[in-house]
Amino acid sequence: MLEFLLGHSVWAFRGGELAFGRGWPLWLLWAGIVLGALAIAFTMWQRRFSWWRATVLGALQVAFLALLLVLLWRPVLNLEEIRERQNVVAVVVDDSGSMNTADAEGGATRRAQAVTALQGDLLEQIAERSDLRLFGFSDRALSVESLQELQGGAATTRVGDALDTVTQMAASVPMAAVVLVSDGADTANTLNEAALARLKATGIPVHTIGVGPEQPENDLELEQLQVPGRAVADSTVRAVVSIRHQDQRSTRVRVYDREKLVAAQDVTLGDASGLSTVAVEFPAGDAGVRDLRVAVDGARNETRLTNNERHAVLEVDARRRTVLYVEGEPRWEYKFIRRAAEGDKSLRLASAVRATPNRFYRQGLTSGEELVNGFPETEAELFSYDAVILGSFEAAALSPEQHQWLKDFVDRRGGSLLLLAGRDGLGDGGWNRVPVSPLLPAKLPSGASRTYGRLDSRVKLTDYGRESPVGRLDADPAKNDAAWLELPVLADYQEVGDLRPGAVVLLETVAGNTTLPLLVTQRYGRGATWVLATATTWRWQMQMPLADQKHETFWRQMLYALAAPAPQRVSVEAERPVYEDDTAVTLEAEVLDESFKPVPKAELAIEAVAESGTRVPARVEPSGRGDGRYTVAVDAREPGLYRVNLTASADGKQVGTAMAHVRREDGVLEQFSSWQHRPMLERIATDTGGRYWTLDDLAGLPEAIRYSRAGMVERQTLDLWNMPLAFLLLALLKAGEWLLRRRWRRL
Amino acid sequence: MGSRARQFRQHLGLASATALCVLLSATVSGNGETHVQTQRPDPEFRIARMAYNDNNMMGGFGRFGGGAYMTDAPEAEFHLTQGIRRLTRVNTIDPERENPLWLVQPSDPRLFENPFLYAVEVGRWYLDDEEAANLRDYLLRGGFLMVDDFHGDAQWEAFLESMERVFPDRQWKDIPDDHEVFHVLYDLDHKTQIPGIGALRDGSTCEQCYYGGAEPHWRGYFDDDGRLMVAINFNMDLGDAWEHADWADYPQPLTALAYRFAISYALYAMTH
Repeated sequence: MLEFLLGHSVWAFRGGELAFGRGWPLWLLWAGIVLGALAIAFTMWQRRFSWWRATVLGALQVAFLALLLVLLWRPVLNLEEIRERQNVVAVVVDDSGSMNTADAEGGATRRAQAVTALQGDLLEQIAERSDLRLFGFSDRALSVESLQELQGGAATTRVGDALDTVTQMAASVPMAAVVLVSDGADTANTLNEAALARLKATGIPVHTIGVGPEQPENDLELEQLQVPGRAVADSTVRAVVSIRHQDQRSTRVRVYDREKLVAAQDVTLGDASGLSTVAVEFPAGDAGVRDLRVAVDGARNETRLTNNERHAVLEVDARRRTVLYVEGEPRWEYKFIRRAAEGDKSLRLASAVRATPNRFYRQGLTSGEELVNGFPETEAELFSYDAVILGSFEAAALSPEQHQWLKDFVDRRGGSLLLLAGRDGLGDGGWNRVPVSPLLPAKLPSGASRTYGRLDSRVKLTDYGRESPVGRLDADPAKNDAAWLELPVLADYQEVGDLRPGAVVLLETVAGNTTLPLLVTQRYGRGATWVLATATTWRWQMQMPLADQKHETFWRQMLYALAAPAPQRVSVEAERPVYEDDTAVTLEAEVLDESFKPVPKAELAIEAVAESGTRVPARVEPSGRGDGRYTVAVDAREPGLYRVNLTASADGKQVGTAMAHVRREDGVLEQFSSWQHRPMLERIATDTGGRYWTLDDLAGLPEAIRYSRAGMVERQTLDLWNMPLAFLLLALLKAGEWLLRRRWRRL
Repeated sequence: MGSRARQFRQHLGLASATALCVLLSATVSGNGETHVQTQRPDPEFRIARMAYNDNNMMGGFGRFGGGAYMTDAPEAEFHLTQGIRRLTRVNTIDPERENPLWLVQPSDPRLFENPFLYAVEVGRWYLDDEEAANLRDYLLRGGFLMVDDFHGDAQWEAFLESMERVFPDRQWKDIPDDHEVFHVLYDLDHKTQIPGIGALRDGSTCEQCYYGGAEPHWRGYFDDDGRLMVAINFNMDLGDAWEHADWADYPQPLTALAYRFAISYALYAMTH
C-alpha cells in the first residue's frame, strides 16, 4: 500500500536523496509560498471570520498552495541501484553447533528455521538481480551450492573471521551486500572492535538476520567458573561460580572430583534475571591433581542441561610449605601460633625464639644445624623458606647482609614477610630504617616515642578482608562478619604509620570511635609484605570455648596466605586450565637458579601425555627476553586430561622438575551463551549500513539489497511529482476545506 | 544597623570555624587514622597464684584469705620473677614496682587472661565441679599449671581427688628424663629433691618421709598431642626455695635448681 502511494519502493526512499528537477531557484519557491500565504491571510481578514476559523481555513489553503508549488518545481529522488546481474550478494549462514538448538515451536532447529525462511521466494528474489553466493560457517566460512549442504554441529563460531573471509571476495568481484544469518554467538571472540572497524572499512552493507530466542527461557547457565590453579594439600579452595538465570531464585552448586562429590552448596540467585556470582568452598584434599566438574542443578522442567556444568583443573601441591618464624622473646603469641600450625601436614613452621640473651630455642627443625643462631646465615638457607615471620625481634640483631637477603627474599625470591607487633617489633624495633622497610605496606613510625602499648579493641573485617582467604572464618558471609565481631578483645596495638598507596587493609581494629589498620599487606616484586599490628590473638584461643577453632583457622589461613604463593625454581603453568574446542595448548615455564635469578639458556625436556597414555607432540621456545621464561606448545587433539612434565637442566646439571595438568574438551563452547545476541547483530548492521532483520519479516530484504550503495551501482533519478500520495493530499486538503465551509455555512 | 551587620559577621565567622573544626576532626578520626594513644603495655608473663578452697584436711585456715594457697606468698613470686627477668628474655612484671602477687580463683573468668598458673600446697585444695570444669577448659585451651609443695600419700590422694574432677578421663604420668620440659633451656637432673625450709632445719630433705614423702617425683598431665599441661612437683617445695633465696640457711644450689625448674616450666609453657 505504502509503495503504491509513494510510487516507488520504500527502500528507494531510505537510500536516496531528495532534490528538485526543474532547476528553478528555491528562493522563488519560498517567495511564492510566502506571497500566497499573505494573500490568503488578507482574504480571510476581509471575510471577517472568527480568528480560529480563519486560521484553520487559511492553513488548509496555504498547505494546498505550497504542495502545488512544490510539485511545480518537480521533486525527484536521486539514488543508486545495483546493476542487474553484475553484483555478488553473499548469504552467510551460521552452521555451528548452537544452530542445532531446537528452540522453535514444533521442535525445529535454528538452522532449519533459517533455511525455511531463506528458501522461499527470498533467495530467488535476491538472485533475480544479483549473483547469489551461499556460504556456511562455523570456525571458517565455506562456499556451498545449496542450503541443504549445511551439516551443522561444528565446535566453534567465528563470526568475525567468516565475515572477513567473505568480504575479501570484494577485491575480485563487485559485492553489493552480505546477508549474515546467525544467532550471533561468537564463541571465539573474533568480533572485536578491530574486526568491526575492518568490516566497516569495506563499505559493504551487512544485513543481519537474527535466529533463536533473544532471552533464554527457563535455563540456568554456568557462564563462568574460576578455580585457583594450585592449592596446598588439605587447604580449603574457593570456586567462584557465575550463573546466568531468569526468574529462578535459588539452585544448588555441586563440585565433583571426577565422579566423587566433594562439595554441595545451596546458593541464592539475584532477584532480577541476569548474572549472579556465588562462591563455593571445597576441600583441596590430598596432594595430586583434581579433575573438577562444577555443576548447577537444573531449574524445574529445564530441558537444556548441557550448559549447567563446567570443568576446572586444580593441582594440589605435594610440597610441604615451610615458614620461618623468628621471635625475639618468649611470648604467648608464639606459643599459640605454633599450636595452630602443629598437626598440619602441609606446613612446617620452623621457629627460633630467643629464650635468653644468648640462646635461641628452636622448634620444627629438620636438622640440628638449622637456625643454630636464630636467623639463617646464608642467602640460600633463607631462600629455602617460603615465608618469614618476625616477632618482637629488633632489626639490629641482623647483619647488613642478612637485611639485604631479607629484602631480596621478598623482591626476588617471591617470599612473604610478616612483621608482628611487639616491644621490639615494627618501628620500635628499628624496622623503619632497614633495606626491607620500603617494601612494607606502611611507612613505620620513626619517632622517639614508643608505638607499642596496651589497647583494648575489637577486630573488624574490611571489604578486602572478606575477599581474602585470611578473612574467612565461616563460609557464610553474614556469619563470617559476625564471627569476627564476636572474637574476644585484643589487648595491644602498635602503630603502623602511614599506609603506602599499594597497601591493602584486610583487618581493622576498633577502639571506641577509632578504627585502625590491623592487618595490612602489599605486593612487592615477586613477593609480598604483611604487618599485623597486634600480638594478642592468643586471647582468642584462651577466651573462646574449647571447641572453637577460629584462632587455629585464622593462623593456618594466614600461614598459607604467606607461604602458598612462593614460586619454585622450576615451574610450568598452563595459560588456562581448560581448553575448550581448541587443540593448541600453551603453557609457560620458568627456570630460576639457586638465587632465584633467571636461567635464560636452560635445557628443557618436555613430556606431554594424554589421558589415554599417548604421548603427544610438544615443543619449547625461550621467550627471547632472557628472563628465564619459556613457552611450551602442546598439540592436544584428543579430549581429556593431559599431564605435562618438565625437566630443566643447566650446564649439565638438573635444576629441577615441574608438572602441570590441562584439560581438553570438545563441543563445549556452542553449549554456552547460545541465545540470540541481537545487540551484536544490530551493531554489525548499523556499523556497515545494513539492517537487522527477523526471520518473520524478511520481505523487504531483496529491495534493501537492490538499493545498496556497494558494488557496481548506477545512479537513477525518480520523479516524485506523479506520486499518488501527492494527488491524494491535494484532494484531501481541498475536500477538508469544502467540508468545513459547509459545516460553518459560509460556503 | 552597623552593629547588626557586625554581629552577623561574627556569627558567620564562628559557624565557619566550627564547621572547619568538625571537618578536620572527621578527617583525622576517619578510617585513614594510624595514630592512637595506647597505655603502657602489659608484661608478657606473670605468675597467677590459684586461690582455691581448702579441703580441711589439715584443719584448714578456712576459705579464702590466709589459706594454704598463700603459702610462701608473695616472697616466692618476688624472687622467682626477678630470677626469670635476670636469666631469660621473658618480659615479666617488675616486682620492685608492682605487687608480684596475683591471686585468681579457679572459677574466675580472669583465669583465661594468663596462661601460666601456680598452685601451692595442693594436698589441701578442693575444686568443686564448676571449678574443675573451668580448670579443665583452661588447660586444654593452652593454659599451664605448676603445682608444688605437697608431700606424702595422703596429700597425693587429696590432690588427685580434685584432679580427677578436672580430668576424669586422664591419668597422671611420670615426666620422663628426656622430656622437652627438662631440656628447653637447661639439661636438668631432676633426681635432686628440693626441700622446704622446715625439713632442712630438721636435718632432712623430705616431709612426710615415712608416709610416702621420701622420694621426689616429677609427674604431669598431658594433652592429646603429648604436651605437658600440669607439672606436678610432688614431695618437693620449690616455693620455699624461691621464697628463701635470700636466707643464709637455705642452700644456694637448691635455690638455683628451683629457679631452673621454674624457668623451664615457664619457657615450656610459652613455647608448647
